Order: sequence, then structure tokens, then C-alpha cells
Amino acid sequence: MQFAAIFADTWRLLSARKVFWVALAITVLVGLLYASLGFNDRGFTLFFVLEFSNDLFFEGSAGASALALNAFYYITEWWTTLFGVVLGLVTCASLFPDFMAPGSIDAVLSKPIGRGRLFFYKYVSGLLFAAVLVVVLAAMSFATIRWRLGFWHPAVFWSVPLAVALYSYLFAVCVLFGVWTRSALAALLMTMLFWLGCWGLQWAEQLSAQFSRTTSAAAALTGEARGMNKAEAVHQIFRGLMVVLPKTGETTSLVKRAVLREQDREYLRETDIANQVQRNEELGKLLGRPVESEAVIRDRVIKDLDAMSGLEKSPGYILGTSLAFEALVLLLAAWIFGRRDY
Amino acid sequence: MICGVSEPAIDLQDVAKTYAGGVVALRDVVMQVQVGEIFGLLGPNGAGKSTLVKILLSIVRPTRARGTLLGQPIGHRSTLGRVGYLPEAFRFPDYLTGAQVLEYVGGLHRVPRAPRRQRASELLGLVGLTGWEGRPLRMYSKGMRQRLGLAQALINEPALVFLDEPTDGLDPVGRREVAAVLRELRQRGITVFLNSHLLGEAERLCDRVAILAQGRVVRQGTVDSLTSEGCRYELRVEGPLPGEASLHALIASLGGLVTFEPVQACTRISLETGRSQFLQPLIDELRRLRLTIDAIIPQRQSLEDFFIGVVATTAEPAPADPAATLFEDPSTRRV
Repeated sequence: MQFAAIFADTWRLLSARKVFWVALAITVLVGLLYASLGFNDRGFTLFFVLEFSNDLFFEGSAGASALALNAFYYITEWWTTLFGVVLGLVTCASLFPDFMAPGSIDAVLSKPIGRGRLFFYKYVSGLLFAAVLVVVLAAMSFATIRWRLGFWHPAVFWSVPLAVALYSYLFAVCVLFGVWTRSALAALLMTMLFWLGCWGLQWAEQLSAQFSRTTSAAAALTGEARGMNKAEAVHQIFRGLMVVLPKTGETTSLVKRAVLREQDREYLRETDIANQVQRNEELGKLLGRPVESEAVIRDRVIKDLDAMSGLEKSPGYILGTSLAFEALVLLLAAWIFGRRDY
Repeated sequence: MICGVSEPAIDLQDVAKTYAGGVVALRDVVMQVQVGEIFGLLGPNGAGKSTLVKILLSIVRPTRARGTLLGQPIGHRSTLGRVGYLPEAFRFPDYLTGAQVLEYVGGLHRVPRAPRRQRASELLGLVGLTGWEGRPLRMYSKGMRQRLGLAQALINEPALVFLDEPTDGLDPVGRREVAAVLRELRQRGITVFLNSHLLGEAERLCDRVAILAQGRVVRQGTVDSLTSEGCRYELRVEGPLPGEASLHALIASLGGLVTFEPVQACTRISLETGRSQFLQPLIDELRRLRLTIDAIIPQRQSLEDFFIGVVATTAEPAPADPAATLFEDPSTRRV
């Protein structure tokens, strides 16, 4: 009953803010945009009227489902887990600072509810913003896939917990700074900085991994080992740093893992390999000698794709370490919230 | 009746609070509030009134808190379900309606939905907000918000209700209505703990008061017993006082309790005590001297006079501050 009261109060707060309705309206538009992607025997259609002839993506082809499901992933990645998260943080950054304002917090703390529970209920209800957006998008996409591709694909609903989890890592940081500084603006700025830092580190880790593989391949050809060791050492440093931080990008990539079926993933991989082999042959013709064998290209592309989509790490590791970080941040925030005199 | 008859609603044996930085807000607070009474906590700004209330409601963590609230140790969470609270500067978001505020607070108190709605409707009627339940708070005046604050403090049918400046922002009519509500609560056996700066209001409403100064309870008791402490008598006698030795000997025997001064064609005699046995020989002597006594006026000090006197005597000496003379009690002057 107490959770319901706090949850209802947060819903009222969200529904009183125009940014929430704007974000919801854009989400519906994005869902409609996705629904406009259709296929016929000549190719694919967009916005219900534009038709594009294509040999790969046509009704019933393997490419059609791969394209549609991959499009869902990119929509989720860009709209829900990027703009949606930013809008959610902007909207909800003031949740705790407002809650802790004099005259407001007194009325709540004087009720028969422990501070820890109160903090937890308020935090969970703060995830509502992200949850509403992603549920709407997932539900619309679920219907679209059935309509356009002809099969039910409930895996799209994996985007709901995954996107909410991603939002929750950052919201936890926002709550910590909100409780600490009691300033929505400070909380928002610090969270954005933190997110940028996470993104930068993750990008650096992926780049260093790719560089390490390239230098290792080059070293194998030339017989030098020093370059390979240095690149790998840098990669290991970034990797070590990333262990303790939330994996925002990799959590998003889990949506791709969950949504794409094995045949779609294989189709996209083979398309990518075929493209690279073709480019390699063109380069070989220019140089007058073969650059890389197809097997080497295949191996490198698969490893790069795995690294970029986080496939080299298990979902348990990605979510477990990220949620552990979130739990620590929340414990610290709850401790500050609970110890403070109001 | 939730508490036993003999058990106070609030029984504080020792409450202390020192904030970070060594600021002492409360020390050795001892206080009792009886069931069913309206109790007023008075004190100057910074005396620690709000801190004490917040400690009782678990909003501020005490340095030391020995005592009970409705028979349970201070800080017992479930007990707060039987307590109502109107904070000072009561604030809820503007987008909420009156009904939503009551629903929210009722939910936090775990009041089931159906009785919560019925109770909300009754309370809105009690505080004169019927018809406003569906309107957002941004449309409410300050007085209406304060009355809504009073309603939310009662949503759980509390046995004890803390009201921090409940009439703040209300016009005289609103104040009278709140006073009527508080009397109604007392009639229902609800204990009311009133934290107010308005001493006249406290004097009219409260059965008992405590005065908190510099973090300590310096006086507590019924309003009657406290204000009668400074009770004195004033007599008006026609013409000047004669130079009879017996009269002046009597005045001298009263140990400086008597002062007199000519006022137009009369003499005003002040007896600085409320004990009437000291008055009798003075009347007898004046009558023996065949003086005409125009009036005998018992003069009881107001709670405000008493409060200022107590606070002044408790205050740290600050001779450099000219405002300190404002606290000098004229009734303590002697001839």
C-alpha cells in the first residue's frame, strides 16, 4: 500500500511534466516509423508510400527479417537507451531533491515507514519514466513484426528490462548526487559526466582490443612481439577499469543479442564478411598480391563483431557487474539519505 | 482510549540533540503531555521546538532520547501510524489535488482505500474545503493549503497530532475555524501537540504549555498555574495616602511587595503578589483610616508577559545588546 502510494505520486509527478508527454509522443512516432518499414516482392517500403527495389531485402527473404530486427535494435539503441535515458534523467533528476525539500520530507518521514524502504520505493518508482517509454515502443514493435514479418517475436520485450537496467545504472548515480547535493542540476551534470566517462572508457576498451588484435596479426607476420605486448597491456588496463563500472553500451548490445535470431545474426555476419572479402580482393588487385585470406578475414570480422556487440562477455558478467555497481551506489545514497537530519 | 489513563501520551525523561559542529539544540529535555489535552510548546526562535518535534517523529535523529510516545519508545516506527503531523511550511507539489494529497498521505499511513476516501471527504468538510478536492493546489490560497495540511494530519485518525504553526497564513476567521477544529479534536480525546509562536492563541487553546529556551524546558504547567504566578492586585484609593505611621509600618512589613503612586486625584497601590492573605491587612488598614477604596483589581499577567519574563531570565547575559532591555519585566520593579 505504501509502495502504491509512492508509485502513484511519482506517476502524478511524471504526468504533470510536459517533457514526459513529449517523450511519449516521440516514442509513438518512432514506433509508427518502425511500423512503416514493410516488404514486398520487389524490395522494401518506408513511410507506407516510398518503395525501394532491393535484391536482398524483399518479402520472405532472410535479409528482410534481419533488417527489420536489426532496425528494432537500432531504434531501441538510439531512441530508448540514448534520448529516452537523457530525457528520463532530465525529468527525474529533481525527484529526490524535491522529495527532500523542507515541508515535504517531514510529512513523509513522520509516517510509519522506514527510511531505507522509503528510499528504495522512491528509487524504483523513479524508473517509471524509462519503463513507460520502452514498454510502448516494444509493444508497438511486437505488433509491427507480426504484421510485417508474419511471426510473433516476444524476444523484443527483452528490451524492456535491459533498457530499464541501463537507465537504472545512471539513475542510481543521479540519485546519489541528488541526495548528496540536494540539487537537481548538480545531480544531472554529474550523471552526464559519469555517463560520458563510462562511454569513453568502454569505447577505449573496444578500440584497444581491436588494435591489439591488429598489431598481434601484424606482429605474427613480421615476427616482432613487443608491439603486441604493449597494445595488449593497454587493453588490459581499460578492461580492468571497465570491470567495476556499469557497462552501458554492452547492456544495450544485449538487446541485439536477445532480439536477433541465430539465422538473422548469421545472415548479417556473412553479409559483413562478404563485403570485407570483396574489398580485400579489390585492394589485392591494386597491390598485385593477396592481402588477407578469407579465413583470416572471417576470424577477424567475427572477433570484431563479437567485441562491438559485447558477445565476448556473458550477459551474466555484463549485467552482474553493472548491477553490483548500481547496488553499491544505491547503498551509499541510502546511507546518506538515512543518516541525514531534516 | 489508546493509552492507559495514567500513561501520558508523551513522556520524555531525557532528550538531547547536538548537531554536527557541536551546536547544542536540546539538552536534558523532560516533558509530559497527558492524553486528550491540547499541549503548547512555546519558545523563542532557535529554542529547539521544531527539533524536539522532529525527534519525536523520527525526522531528526536524537543524540539521546529516553522516553515514550503513546507508550512506545521514541523512534518506534509503527507508533507513527497513530500520529498525525502538520509540518511548518507544509509543502506538497502544486500539480496534486487536495484529494490526491489526502490519498497519498493515507496510503503512507496504510489506511485502506475505501475508508481513506470516506475519511478524506469528511476531513475536507471539517476544514471547509468541500468542493475543492478535485482542484490542484496551485489554485489554493495559503490559508487553504494550511487547512489542507491540517486535514492530511488527521487522515489516519491519530491518537496524537503534532501541529507546527497550524494557523500560519490564516486570516482571523480561518484561525477561529482551526481553533474550533482543535477543540473538537480534544473533545474526541485526541491529544494535540501545538507548536506555535502565537502566544495569545496558545493561551486560549492550550490546557498546558511548556516553555523551551536554549534547548531546555524551563517551565511547564497549566496555563492558569503559570500565568497566576505573576498575579498581583491593584487598589485605587481616593486622594493621597496619609502619613500615618501604622500604614507605612504595614507597607514596610510586606517586604517591598507594595508600591504606590498618585494618579490624578487617586492613589494607585500595587501589591506584587497573587496571594490574597497579604491583601487583607492592607484593606483593613485603609478602611481603618477611613480612606475610600474605589477599586480592587486582581491583575493576572498574560501568557505572553509570563513567556517574555521566563525567556529573559533564561537568556544569556548580553549587556552590549540594547534589545535586551526589551525583555525587562516591569512587574519586577520594586519601590
